[in-house]
Amino acid sequence: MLTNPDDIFNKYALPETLGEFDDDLLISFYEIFIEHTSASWQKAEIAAARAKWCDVSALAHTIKSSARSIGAFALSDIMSEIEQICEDGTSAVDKIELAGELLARTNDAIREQMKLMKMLSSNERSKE
Amino acid sequence: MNQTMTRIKKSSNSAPTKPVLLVVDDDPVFRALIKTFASGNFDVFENSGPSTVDVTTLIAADIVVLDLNMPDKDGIEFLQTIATLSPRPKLLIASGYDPRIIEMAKRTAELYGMTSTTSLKKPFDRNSFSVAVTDLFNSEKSDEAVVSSQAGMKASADDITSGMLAGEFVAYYQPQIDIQTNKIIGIEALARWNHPQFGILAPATFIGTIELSKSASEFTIVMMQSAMKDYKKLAKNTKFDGTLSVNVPADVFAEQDFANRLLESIQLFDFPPNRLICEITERGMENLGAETIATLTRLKMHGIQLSVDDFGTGQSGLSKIKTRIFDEIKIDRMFIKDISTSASSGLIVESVLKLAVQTGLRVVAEGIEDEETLAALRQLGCPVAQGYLIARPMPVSSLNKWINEWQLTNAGR
Repeated sequence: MLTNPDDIFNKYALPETLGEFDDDLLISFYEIFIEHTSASWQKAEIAAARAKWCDVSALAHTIKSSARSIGAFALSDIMSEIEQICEDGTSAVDKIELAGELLARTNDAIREQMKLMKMLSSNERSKE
Repeated sequence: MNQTMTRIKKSSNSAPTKPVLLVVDDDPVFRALIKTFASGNFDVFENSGPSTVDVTTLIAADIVVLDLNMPDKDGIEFLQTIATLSPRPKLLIASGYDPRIIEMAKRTAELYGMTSTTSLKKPFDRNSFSVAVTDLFNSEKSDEAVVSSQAGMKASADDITSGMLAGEFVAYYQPQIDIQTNKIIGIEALARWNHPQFGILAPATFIGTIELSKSASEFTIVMMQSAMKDYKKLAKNTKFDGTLSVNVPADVFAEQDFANRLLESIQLFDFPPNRLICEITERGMENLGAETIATLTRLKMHGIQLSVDDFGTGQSGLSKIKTRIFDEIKIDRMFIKDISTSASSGLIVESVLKLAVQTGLRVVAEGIEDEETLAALRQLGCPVAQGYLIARPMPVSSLNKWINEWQLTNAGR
């Protein structure tokens, strides 16, 4: 799947949303996002396997907004599609696999960013 | 009397505390965002869903930030719980739903009496959240359900019967003015309960029970007679010669005896029938039976005017209203309050006004609370205004004074 890396994870989005650039604060948000989204998506996959598409729609709705806030635009877009397709009980089986892959790539990109931030932060501290 | 939830008032001698903001959202990212945005100015409490909300926190909340899509109980269901509070907290609906759904949720909250409500589409940033919350916190919109701090209660039918026997129900009056000339052209009688224990109680605490009870017709007649009596005094003291509007529950019109009793009251108090306006809500008109239409026709035949209250909250449409011999429509406050800022509300009011003029109906705009709204209505050519900007509902003794002062201030305008 070809997606612009900035759409997978845009590191400038969350500081813009928050109006703050504090690394510790940003990291805490990324951690909450990964934990919550992974748990929600796991529920969505179970619901999809049971063909409970309205439940899938509701879960995709939740992920959609927080993904956009965090800078995971591609994930937000696919969740929005899933939300709309499934809201009347229609199957979105082909999108589920795609969304799962996208979520994994998003989480990897966020973890990479967190690693970088932690490293920079530790370098700063050692200089002090 | 069953006391429902009453918010704890911060006493003036307690240590200064920040106002309380309660977030109800299943998404931890948004809970954390709101906490970050608001914790400088508020004590922020967060809950992942309505079922986990602690009642004490809800009662203490000044602002509730509510998500709509939550797994255990959705935000709309939770609005019913918030509506039982007195006074009610201000409400910010924060949701990722389509703006039309968010707007519907906002209107639902307003119909539940939460007049201080705003909305925000997710995702949002610090700036848009801060603007929304600051505006909401500083808003001083009226909460019609609240007259006294003890108003958060629901009366039983027995309590109401006792109150009626003891003469505890009184009429308060809200003036209506001609928007172009500022002349007072009418007053609306609004029921209040002068409760021996709780003070002046607003209709929200008793009207629902009355409308479902057998005493609705008796209650309406008692209020009408009281208002007619007050009107006579007022006319004598102030030379007021406008109309007197009284709310009549839809089911009361269906009672065979109601028209006779009303006409007897008019005779008893020697009241000019063409100055009496009976208001029926638009929602109450949706399933009018033969008895109701017969009563309305009889009242009309005797010169009594008929008005459709809360217009816009039902499904009637102007064509039906015209064929049902109404003289007046009162546009519901939910369309009026944001007329100066919302293009859709402005368009709705403008269309209603045009059609009303064509069909010969007088239009009253209710719920006017600021100068901008009044100016916008004047611009649109709306003839009659009513709302807190002009005057709050008041007892007849205060109205007497108010009319004299208003006439003096607006003489010659």
